[in-house]
Amino acid sequence: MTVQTRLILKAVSFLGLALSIVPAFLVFGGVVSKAVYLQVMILGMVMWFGTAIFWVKRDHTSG
Amino acid sequence: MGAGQKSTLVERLDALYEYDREPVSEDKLHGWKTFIAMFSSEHIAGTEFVLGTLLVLHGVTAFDVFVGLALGNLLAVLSWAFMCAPVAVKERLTIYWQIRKIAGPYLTVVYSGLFALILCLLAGSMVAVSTTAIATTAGVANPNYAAGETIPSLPWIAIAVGVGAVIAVVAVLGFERLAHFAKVVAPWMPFVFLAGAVASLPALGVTGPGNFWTVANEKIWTGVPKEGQMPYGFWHCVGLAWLCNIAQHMGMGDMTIFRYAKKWQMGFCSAFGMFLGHYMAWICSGVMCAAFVHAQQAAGVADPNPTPGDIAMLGAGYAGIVCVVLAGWTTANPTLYRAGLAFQVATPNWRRWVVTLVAGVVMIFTACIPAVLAYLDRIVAYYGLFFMPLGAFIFIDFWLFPRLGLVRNYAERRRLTISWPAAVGWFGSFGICFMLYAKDQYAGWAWVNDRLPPFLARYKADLFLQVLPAWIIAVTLYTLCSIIQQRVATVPALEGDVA
Repeated sequence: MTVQTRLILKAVSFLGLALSIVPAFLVFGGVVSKAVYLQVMILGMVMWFGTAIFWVKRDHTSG
Repeated sequence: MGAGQKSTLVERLDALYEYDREPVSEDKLHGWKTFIAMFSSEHIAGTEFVLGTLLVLHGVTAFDVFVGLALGNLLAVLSWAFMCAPVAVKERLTIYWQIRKIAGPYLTVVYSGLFALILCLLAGSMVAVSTTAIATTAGVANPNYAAGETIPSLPWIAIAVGVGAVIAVVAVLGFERLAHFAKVVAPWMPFVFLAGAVASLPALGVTGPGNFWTVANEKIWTGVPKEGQMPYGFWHCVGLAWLCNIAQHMGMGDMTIFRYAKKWQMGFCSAFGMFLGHYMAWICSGVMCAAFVHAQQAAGVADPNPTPGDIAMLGAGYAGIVCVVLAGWTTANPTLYRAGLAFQVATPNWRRWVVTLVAGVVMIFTACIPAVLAYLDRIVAYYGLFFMPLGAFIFIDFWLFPRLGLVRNYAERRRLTISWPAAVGWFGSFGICFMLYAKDQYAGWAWVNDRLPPFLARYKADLFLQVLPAWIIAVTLYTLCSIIQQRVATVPALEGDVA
């Protein structure tokens, strides 16, 4: 995996994490509806899992 | 059981941990990041959805939760940092070898076997948590233990068997890939907990930080237990947060992890696990539980049943459901794997996959007992109190014995198969604490009050508040018995004995 690909994957992952938390505060503030929030949560989840699986390192230690 | 069989059992157990026999070498030590990541991921499990909910149902107040859990988790972190990690970085051995040195191989076998059973029980509770999420999605009603449903419906059992079978098969095939997946899941889960709670607050009437505390006391942590639940307070919160991992910190179980630490100060990394998993996550699941109960009551449901799947669905939708399934799955798998390892000791000539599958069957069976989730807080308290004493002995053996002029690792040095001071301290401590608790809780034990001195008969013990008494009783019995063993017994001194 090239450095650039890795960077892009990480950027998408962290955007996914942001989408998994920011909308909740927008619901709290009355900015978005709960229905929209629930859909964005799914989007955030897909973005995180779809990309993080490629760059989060395997653990080679035991113990 | 013959002597030959006994030695075989011990040899098998030793062989199982053979690779951990030598202290960890310098080049294999890890830094802060490793321990922060390890604790952050290990302590956000599916069961956090249950324990946060139980605190709400037991009627704690907002102060109890916010301050009591903070204090309990702080005590847990200090226990890791000042009790477990310092001994771990000096000895650099697993808990298994450490217990074997001070208690002898037979008690170590007993410890391993009982530990395997409790691990199956805990893995079962995690399967049950995941099952509630899938059942909610599939439209299958989750069992309501509080309403008297002691056996789940057949469709629910079928789902639990399916979830448990997947977990058991993955554990049999080796869980390296799952361990990687668990590492991927870990950073995302705290966000789902937090999001679910924050998004649930408006439904409870929270309009801003200004009225949060008022709503928290009136609608979430009301101080009034649900009908049929025992009332909990501040010290229960402290005790639960401190106790639920006591087998790992004061019980020294995490010596196995911290033997890889460069410095003992890395014990403070446990704060990331405690304050994310056992503080933030418990508080968030409490908020989601309260939102679910209010929504159900508003819909005319007389006796709401807040299961992990239901509260996660309401708080975070399908992302919440996935979180519950994965939180249960990723933590149940290594738990089952460890249980299989421990069971293997008592099953001669059985293949690893057969043993793990048998452990899986026990896990699935316990997952189908709704009482396990309903009493999970009590189960983890018993688990902690029972396994803590052996860790207390390691601590005392390391710090106190040289100062008292006693020989360290006496069982190993004298090649004893069993250390009677350890047996007296272990079973004596648990027996005394259990009796003091049971005398006021179970009718069958009420007779104890008539035979106790008045000051003890008046003492109303609570399971969660037994940490300190249990530790003190354990180390006192162990130390006194060790003095008798080492000073009274006429055993010739060995090279290296403390004078």
